[in-house]
Amino acid sequence: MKRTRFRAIALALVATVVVAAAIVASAAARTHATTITYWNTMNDEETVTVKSLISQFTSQTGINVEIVQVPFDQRDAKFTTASQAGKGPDVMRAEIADVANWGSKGFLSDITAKVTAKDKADFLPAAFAYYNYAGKVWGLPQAPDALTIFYNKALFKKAGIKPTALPKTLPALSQTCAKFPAKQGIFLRADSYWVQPWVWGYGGGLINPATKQILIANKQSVAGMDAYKSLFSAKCAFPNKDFSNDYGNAQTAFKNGQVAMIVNGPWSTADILQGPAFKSSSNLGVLVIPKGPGGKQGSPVGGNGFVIGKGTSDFEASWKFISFMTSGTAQAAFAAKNNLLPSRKSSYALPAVKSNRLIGAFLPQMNVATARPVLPQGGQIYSDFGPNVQKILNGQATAKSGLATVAAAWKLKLFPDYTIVK
Amino acid sequence: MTTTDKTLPAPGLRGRGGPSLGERLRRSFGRWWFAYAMLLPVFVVMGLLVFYPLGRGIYYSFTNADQYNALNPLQPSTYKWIGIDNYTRILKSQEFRDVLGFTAIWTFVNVFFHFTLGLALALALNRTLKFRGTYRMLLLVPWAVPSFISAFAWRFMFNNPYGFLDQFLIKLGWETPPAFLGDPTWAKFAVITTNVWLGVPFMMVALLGGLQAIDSDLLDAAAVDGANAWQRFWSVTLPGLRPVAATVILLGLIWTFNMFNVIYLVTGGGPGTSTQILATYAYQNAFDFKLYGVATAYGVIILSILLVFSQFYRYTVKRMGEETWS
Amino acid sequence: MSSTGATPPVLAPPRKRAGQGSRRVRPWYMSAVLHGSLVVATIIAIFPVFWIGISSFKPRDEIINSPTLNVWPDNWTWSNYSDVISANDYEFLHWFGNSALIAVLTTIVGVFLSATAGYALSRYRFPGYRTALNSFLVTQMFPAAIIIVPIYQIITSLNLIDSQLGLLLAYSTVAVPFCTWMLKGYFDTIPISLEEAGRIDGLTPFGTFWRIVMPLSTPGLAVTCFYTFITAWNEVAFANIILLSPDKYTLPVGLRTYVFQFDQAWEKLTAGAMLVTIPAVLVFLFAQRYLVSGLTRGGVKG
Repeated sequence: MKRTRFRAIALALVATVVVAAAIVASAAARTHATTITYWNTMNDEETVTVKSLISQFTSQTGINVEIVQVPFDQRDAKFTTASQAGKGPDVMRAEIADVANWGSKGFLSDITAKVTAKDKADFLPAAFAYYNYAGKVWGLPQAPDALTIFYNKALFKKAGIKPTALPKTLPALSQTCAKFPAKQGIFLRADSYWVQPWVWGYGGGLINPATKQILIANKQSVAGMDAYKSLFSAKCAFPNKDFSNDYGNAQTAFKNGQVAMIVNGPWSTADILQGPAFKSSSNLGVLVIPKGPGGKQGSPVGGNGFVIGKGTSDFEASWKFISFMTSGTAQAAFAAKNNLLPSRKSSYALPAVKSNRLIGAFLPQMNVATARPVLPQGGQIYSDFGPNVQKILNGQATAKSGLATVAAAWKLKLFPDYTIVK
Repeated sequence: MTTTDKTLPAPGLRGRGGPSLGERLRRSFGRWWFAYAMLLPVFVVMGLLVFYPLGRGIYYSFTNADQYNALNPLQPSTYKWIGIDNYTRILKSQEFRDVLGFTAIWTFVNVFFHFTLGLALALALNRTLKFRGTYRMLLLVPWAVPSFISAFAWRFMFNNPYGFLDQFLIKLGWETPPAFLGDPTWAKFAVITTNVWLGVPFMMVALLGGLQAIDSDLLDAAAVDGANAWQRFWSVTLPGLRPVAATVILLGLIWTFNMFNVIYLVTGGGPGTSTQILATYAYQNAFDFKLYGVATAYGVIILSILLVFSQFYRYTVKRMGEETWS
Repeated sequence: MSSTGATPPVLAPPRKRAGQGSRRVRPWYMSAVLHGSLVVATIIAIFPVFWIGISSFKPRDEIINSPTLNVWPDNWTWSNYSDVISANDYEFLHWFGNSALIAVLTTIVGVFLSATAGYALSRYRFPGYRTALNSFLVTQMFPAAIIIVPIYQIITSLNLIDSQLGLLLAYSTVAVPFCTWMLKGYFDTIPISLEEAGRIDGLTPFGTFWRIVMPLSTPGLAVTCFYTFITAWNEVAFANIILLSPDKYTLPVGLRTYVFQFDQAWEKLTAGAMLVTIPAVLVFLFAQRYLVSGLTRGGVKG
């Protein structure tokens, strides 16, 4: 009795294994024309656009592209380990901070020779800067972005703020917020990336590689952080107490018309426009992040682009692919379907882009946006910056002591030979 | 439960006398060949995939290896031996000590609840009971869901102000419910709750298995002798459960100490650093920066803490009369 | 220390499962308390999963737009499930097959290796016994996030990157030490007398292991099997790094791709989570009948 039961189990297990193996084997049998692998880190809506672009590309050039979806937060770990093992992809979608990082470690193919002077002139300088490192070009920018202020036009009208009287300085922004009922003015996130416009606006900075200085703890940066904190805790600000979920909460509050202003980037417009308050898209306003009292203005330039892996099996095919994905056609598609900003100046004249009101509204912000220094460690500053900003906004540390901790950590871990400016 | 010795005689020959080392080795092999044979496959795999990397990791902890000077086959390795610098730097930091404190609280509180709740449920499910199978299946479900999705679900449930828990508390009349993930103390409560929820099913199932081994004749005999339910539990069930319970508690303690997913996905160690445990702190402070030397130094520190602790644990359990580690 | 085998064989009477063959009828209020507490526990266990499940039937904007408590869907939809399953030419089915293969193989290999090792550690006090026992424990102590890099390098140098064999190897190293300790604990509860009786009957050491001890340890083996299966079925950290081609992805890796830079496709994650949980629960349903003591199947009579 026991015997037969054991046998039955064994049989069932073997059967499962066989079936599973068959499924796997059938998947493995694929025909091979010229195929390049592309690791994609976009969200599902942008991926739809990518796929239609890929089929266009394949029908034009006959090159097959195998798209591999990689979770965004795993991209560095996965690309690094795969490249070290010699199994990296042909094309990778890289975040701007990745390019210098990966280029410095030898994971990328040098494309300097392929980029024409005309192309170099055509790409937006702020976006293209991130793809130049150590005198070489390592990739092409797909979609730059910068933080801006989104506002609800109907709520502004209700509060009596005229479209001509929008705040142009950060102190004026705080006053504008005060015109709204309690908790309905602005939703500020407790994220260090989001704090940067205030830091720059008040004349502070992050680091200066040219002078080898760490600026985050200097007087102006502290002033900027204090200004952010006072707006964060102001009566008119939506009480943001949950730092793990605040991105989603800001979106929810804004989309439901519970708050008049949020700070976010162009990637979020697709989400915002699905909200009840923005059924009519003309209700969504874009406001350039205002200047600080000293006249300085800043918003971090971010974005993603395409790089070619060092171990690529077909450099020419990969180059054709990334050229296509950053060409006017592709940029028009991303602009029309996903509200992503094109990285080429010439694309802004294309009809699909020109007719997109939101993209037009973003241009002024992009023009005053601040590029971060292009360093291999560029993306790693947030590991210490983030938790300390949370402590400052939580009241666990003062702006001065919190930023001093950040500066000390950066010096210790990333920039040992820099000096901290007080 | 049993007073006889739990070991078997060695299969094969028995030796005697004052032999040389070579002879002793040969004889020892002859005596215990069966044990060695059964352990060999495991040790080959372990040796290759765990002990060797562990050894290398320990070596790296005394160097300044990082992403630029080590472990990249495409670039030359130029890391240097720096002695105990990594260790002194870590151990001197006040933040490290705070994180260590919370790690200890985290570990003990979690395992305490895992064990007591798991045991209570196992005892309840060990009886003849209507719907027992249904209860067992439903109570197991937290274990069956991929933990990263459960962590997200709890993160959304703890959301302030839109999450289920806060909305529910508002409906019950609490006007400003706590920001579970934003307040440093409540955040600790939130991550512990999530981890207890995740861990109880395993304990319950493991202890249920252990309860099966308890001879019900002993329980009957105790009942005949006049012991009430509590006394039967204390003097028959609990001792009978000891081998299994001692094992799963120790493993649970080690496992919880290093639990990465829950903290990382629910609070990211925040707000600030109030829910960092050593494993996530090491990740954020060293691994994220690919400072391999520092990361492995953290690993060795964690390893040492757990080794010392497990020795202490063994002595305590042994003194309670358990032969598992004698 | 070691028994000399001089103990006469013991006639072991058939053993009853603890709690059965019971004497007293349970009073009604005890039943109420028992059922009451089990119901509360079940609600707490189930609720988050129920919440995930109910969200899987909501369209995206209902899940993420809702600022208020909104349990039941306003617009019930099955499209999340169909989207997840049919995405990319039914890639989901490949993930499912891969996960099933890996989980089953890991369970077979893991349980077999740890049963033999656990038995040896339970019964024999050979030289090096303490070291072996401690070394298994030590493998659990190094945090996974840190040991993943060296393990990855070894797997790379064996050229097993992006292969299911590499993943199997990685999972075995995670599961086997733990299962060995667990099984040792279970084996320790089985009296030696039964094996001695078997030995006297002429069984080889392996024979006593296979024919006497294993059948009697079904609860321990069931727990170990289920633990190994679930660990391999739900594991994402190692699989994410080792598996590079999408047709080799396992289910958790595939689902992880729904977590984006700033937000998540929560409607797809919840649908995917349900699809992943159901087989795991079915496996448990299958395994749980073995949570019955093997000792009730008649002890060895000598």
